[in-house]
Amino acid sequence: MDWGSGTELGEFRAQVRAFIAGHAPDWQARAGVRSPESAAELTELRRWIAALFEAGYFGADWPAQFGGDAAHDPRCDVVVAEEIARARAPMQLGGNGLAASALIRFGSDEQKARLLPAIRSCDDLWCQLFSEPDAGSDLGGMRTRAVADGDGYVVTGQKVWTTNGHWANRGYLLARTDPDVPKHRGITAFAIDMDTPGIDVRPLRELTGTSDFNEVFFDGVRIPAAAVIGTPGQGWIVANASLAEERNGVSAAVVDLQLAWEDLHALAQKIEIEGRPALEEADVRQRLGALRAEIRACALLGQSSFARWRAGRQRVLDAPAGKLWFSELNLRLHEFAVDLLGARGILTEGDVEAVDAGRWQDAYLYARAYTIAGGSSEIMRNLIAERALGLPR
Amino acid sequence: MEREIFESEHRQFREVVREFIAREVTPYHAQWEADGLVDRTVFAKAAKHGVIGFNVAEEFGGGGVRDFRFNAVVAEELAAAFVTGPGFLLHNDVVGSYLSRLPDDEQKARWLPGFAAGEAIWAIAMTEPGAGSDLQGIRTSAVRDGADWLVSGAKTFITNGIHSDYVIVVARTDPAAGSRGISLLVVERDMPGFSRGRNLDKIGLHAQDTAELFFDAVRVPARNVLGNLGGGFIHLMENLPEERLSIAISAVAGARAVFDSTLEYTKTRTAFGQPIGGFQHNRFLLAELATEIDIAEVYIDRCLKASVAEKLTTVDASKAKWWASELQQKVVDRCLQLHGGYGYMTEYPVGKAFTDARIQTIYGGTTEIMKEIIGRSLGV
Repeated sequence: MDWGSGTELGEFRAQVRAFIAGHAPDWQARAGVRSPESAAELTELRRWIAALFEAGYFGADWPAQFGGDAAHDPRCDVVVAEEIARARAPMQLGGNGLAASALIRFGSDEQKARLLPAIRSCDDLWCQLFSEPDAGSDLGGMRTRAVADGDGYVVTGQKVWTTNGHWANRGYLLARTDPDVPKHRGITAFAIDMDTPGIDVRPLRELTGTSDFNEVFFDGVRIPAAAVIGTPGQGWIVANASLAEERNGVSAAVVDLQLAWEDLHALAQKIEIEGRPALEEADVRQRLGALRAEIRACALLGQSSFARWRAGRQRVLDAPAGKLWFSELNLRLHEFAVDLLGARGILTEGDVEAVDAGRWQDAYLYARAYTIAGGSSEIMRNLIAERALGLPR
Repeated sequence: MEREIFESEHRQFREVVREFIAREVTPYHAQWEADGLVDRTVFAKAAKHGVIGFNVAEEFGGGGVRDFRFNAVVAEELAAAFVTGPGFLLHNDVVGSYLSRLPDDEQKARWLPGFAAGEAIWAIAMTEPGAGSDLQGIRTSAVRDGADWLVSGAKTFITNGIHSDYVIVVARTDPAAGSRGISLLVVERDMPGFSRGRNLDKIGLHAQDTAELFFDAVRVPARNVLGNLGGGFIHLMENLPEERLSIAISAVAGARAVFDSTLEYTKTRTAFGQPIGGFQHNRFLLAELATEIDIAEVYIDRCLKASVAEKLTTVDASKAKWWASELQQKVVDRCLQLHGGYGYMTEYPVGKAFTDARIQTIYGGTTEIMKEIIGRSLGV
């Protein structure tokens, strides 16, 4: 975001940039939110995330007793996210971010003391256990049950689209504890150990050819009452509070788009159509120009939405409009990139002839996940229509 | 909309093809995708049932039928079953067409029996690493040496590239003669200097072998020149309308297959207390796609009729090709979104269809080239 020149944020940005150059893992992050591909990569990732906490670039908004900074300026979070994206370095693990925000706002003192330090050090890896085969965008339809039994609960059911499920040792679980009340009210949030007997994690394989998501099966899994985050039946509120923060990350996404546009521009100079650079075709130039304008609109949308949030005047449509505009624009941009590649557009990573090591294909295929995950485009449009514009349901 | 183009013999043939695919292809397809190529014996099995080779003359073991509606039936049934592996369309619609028109009597006797029986697998090598849709830019050369030709160069994106026993190579036999200096030469599996590169890593069509081919002064006897010397470009042009129609047919059938499975999904998948197909947005989207698929099918059938009467023009085939393949992209894209997260998994047909369909707007001439052809015909 453009904060104007000559501010202390410019200095902060320079510090962050230098820190990233010295500490980031030496691989380029893939498009989107992805799972580590090997144990070695995970070790590197843990070291990197822990270093960001240690330097105060992550977790500055946490309570002071857990390492936060009371004088924290939230604009710094935006700068950090933007600079990580600019370096194409890996971002905070989604599950860890969600769990931390839920624990800080709703966790017991015992849970905070036990779990937050291991998120800072990244010794713990969390996965988010919300979506189910029959409850994705319609989270209120979840069926996984946690039945009170003695001094704890017994969990039975299935979760799906669990990023990092195959690596995580902790799970942030939503389950139905009271089947007799309206669907949003009977849900409870839990912090569980993933090595509890009865939990079975099975990786899925996606369009990209990688395994980022998992199915997680619960068969009579016994968890203690102390695992409840907040109070029984409060799970919907806990989950929505943490998801709202997740939807606030448009600034890093804008940087991703800007970088992709710059690469696309370079690609249009490199690719030839009948012996001439594609950039010399009027049609190609017009598409590039239009995309550039749309990215600018996305950036301004994010900036105005952030300004309203800081002033306490956030609107219901800010988060869904940002997510919708980014994910659909990202899809259009990468569709155009693959079009531009012509026949070589079908070659993927691993093939020596694949242009730019297959990154366009990976981003093109992952672009389909963005329009579905974290609330599909259809759900975003519903939120805008029903809650922001007050149109009839 | 009811289709008027097919007669009872085509409908019977459709039953045969459908049963063949269900029995001999579908059960093995996942394994072939993992292997990166099909089991080549499926060609001989298909020939036995008349699924391939029907357009070769009876005296050489074929079916003796030149009626593109049979080709269309095969294309449609493969697409309807989400089968992308065996290169049957290349065999029937492309190579079959060349081999039924171009060989002399000696070549027919030598090549057609193996081709009709599905024992010999053929490929055609046009595209080069530096020249895609632009055939004028072909650099592979054939230089005369005594009674033979020495073929040198590289080809890429060759379907059946790994399995092929015979490759029809498009090469420049007279560098000074422009498009009249291009000829077709048949390179055989064991000819010294002929080698294959890797099976390419593609985003879709994982059961189909697509490879690079290299020719290092391969000695090809004059009796392996297919068609007229210097007439290669014209031979290619003559066959392009049918090749493009074939892609358009499989595009529409592929779109319909994905649409049908998605329609079923939207009737059974519930969210917010009702089947997702019941939401007006989704219902309108499905209505729109159903309409566009019908319209495309009517146009395709009209082209098919023209083809049977040998009146299909390059311009009409180009219109069919780009419109149908772009429609397929749109349909698989929208249908993937209707599946939500399941659409993003490779285990659902729609996820695979999304990556498999991507090539349709590219091969056989890209959408942009199709529009050039149509645009030029308009005098602009």
